Amino acid sequence: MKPLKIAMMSMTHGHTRKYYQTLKDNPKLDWVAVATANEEVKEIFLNSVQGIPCYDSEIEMLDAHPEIEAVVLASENSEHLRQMKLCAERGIHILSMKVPTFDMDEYDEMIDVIEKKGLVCQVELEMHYNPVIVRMKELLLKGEIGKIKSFNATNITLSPVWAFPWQGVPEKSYGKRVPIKEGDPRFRGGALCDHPHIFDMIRHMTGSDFESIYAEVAPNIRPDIEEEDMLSVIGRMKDGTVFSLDPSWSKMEERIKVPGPGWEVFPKRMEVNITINGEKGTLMADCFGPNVYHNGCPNDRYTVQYTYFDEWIGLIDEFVDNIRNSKTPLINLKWHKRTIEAMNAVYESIATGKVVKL
Amino acid sequence: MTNLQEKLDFLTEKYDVEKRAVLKDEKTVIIDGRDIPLFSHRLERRFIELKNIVQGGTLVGISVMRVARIVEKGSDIFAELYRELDICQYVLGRKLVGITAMQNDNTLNLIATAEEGIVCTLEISATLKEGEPAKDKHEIISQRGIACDVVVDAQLKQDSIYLFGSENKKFTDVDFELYGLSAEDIAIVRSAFTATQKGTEEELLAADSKLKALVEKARISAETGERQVI
Repeated sequence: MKPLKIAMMSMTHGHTRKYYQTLKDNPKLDWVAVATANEEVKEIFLNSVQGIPCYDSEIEMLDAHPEIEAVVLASENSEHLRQMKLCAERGIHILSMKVPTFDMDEYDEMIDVIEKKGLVCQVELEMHYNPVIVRMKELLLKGEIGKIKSFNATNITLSPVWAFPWQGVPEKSYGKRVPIKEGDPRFRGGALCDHPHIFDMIRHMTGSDFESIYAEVAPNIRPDIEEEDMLSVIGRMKDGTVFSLDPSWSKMEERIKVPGPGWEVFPKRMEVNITINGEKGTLMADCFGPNVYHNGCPNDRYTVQYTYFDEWIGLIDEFVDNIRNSKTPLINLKWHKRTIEAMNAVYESIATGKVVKL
Repeated sequence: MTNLQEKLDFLTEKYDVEKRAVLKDEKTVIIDGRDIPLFSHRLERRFIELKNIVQGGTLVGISVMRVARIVEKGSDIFAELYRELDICQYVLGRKLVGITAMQNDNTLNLIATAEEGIVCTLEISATLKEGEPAKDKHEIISQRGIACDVVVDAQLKQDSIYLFGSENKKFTDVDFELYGLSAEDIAIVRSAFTATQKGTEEELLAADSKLKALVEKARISAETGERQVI
């Protein structure tokens, strides 16, 4: 199979660095170029990867490399529609970050642009390529715990806003400045916007869709950011499954500009744990581990050192297969739309104080 | 219950308690002919320490308390809710002021709000096979730190002793005076003993009444799908 000629845009998203190894190592890919959004991310990129042409302008990159077949949009959410249009005009396939947009009119426009051009637009929800998730799904299909009664999950991390400042700007993260609720100085665009995975996973595991959602925002543990960082969500799926989801930034971090050793204040920077209760038993999973531990440099703090899986390998393999064999991505824009609608319902519930029916 | 009564008698005799306390069941002690509700969880050391951490200033700026509890099938999930709501209030030192609940048969999820905007999430289910010990976790998240009764990067609690022999066994012993009892049974005996102390009976009866009202609000919310204000 001819390697896919791929590029990256913006390089401002927190997942940018996750692609470096895969794009360099995967024999199905030919990493052609990157376009960086600003000098800061350009410097970080050039310090991390050698030998890949780096442009200051997307247009300049695309003009210089008409051979580019696909682009990873490693950008803030507010840039996605513009970049999708730019790529679609040139017939370039797209790997979108986990939140294409929260604006549902924009979302429909994205679907329209992609469909009209017959392009592949895969949404980066890497948990689908996590081996623990694969095992959980297999156990559920085998009927080990019977019909699902409840699905409870955490997708909790430190806050990335110091390293990836756009995530702390409501207009760039949520798409516009919307107060979280009346009388509250905070705005939409925080932890919820960073954590769509568990809203997607419950659909993947149950095969059902959201019926109702209730959410509360708690006092921020970072009072100086203007978005929500702690929230709790409960609700019911159409098949009756009740759920409890925690998409918070509940792990405190050092305010460093480039993620690396010493980022953690709380020993563990990230967790996706899922408990599924069924009619025949309970399934509990920690999606990342087992890990190792140290209290060494730079802060001498006890720290959970992840032994990461690389979900991006499976994700990219699927992306290439979808393009080369004209397949629809597992996580395509249409599938993911209902997940985004559920996340919007979380904000609506917080604002109204009521259960929101979907 | 006989064994627990013997341990309770041992304590009352050792400490010269005049009142006669008789354990009726795991949740009730009879004192002077009156049924007094037991809040045995309040005597579990982990909750005493979490309370001290939260209310003693070790954590600053409380935001969220997260609770998960899974018990064996056939258990009353609202009885478990009674326990967990009390733990939230006991540890936080704040009253709950609102409850929204979603129930699916023997599973129950809630968001409860406490004074000062603190949010509590409670995930309860009765899905374990008979005889399987309860699994639970209690975590408090604040601006300055997190407190939890499960170690970081683990899903379940540790035991004190693991024996790998012809038969694998594990032990967790937490009370020298009441050696031999499980942590849960120790808490029952200790709470019954505490109930014999002067002035605690009325306090326990009042707490029971308020908690029953909270649980009733949760039932209404689960039935109506609406948030209930307390």
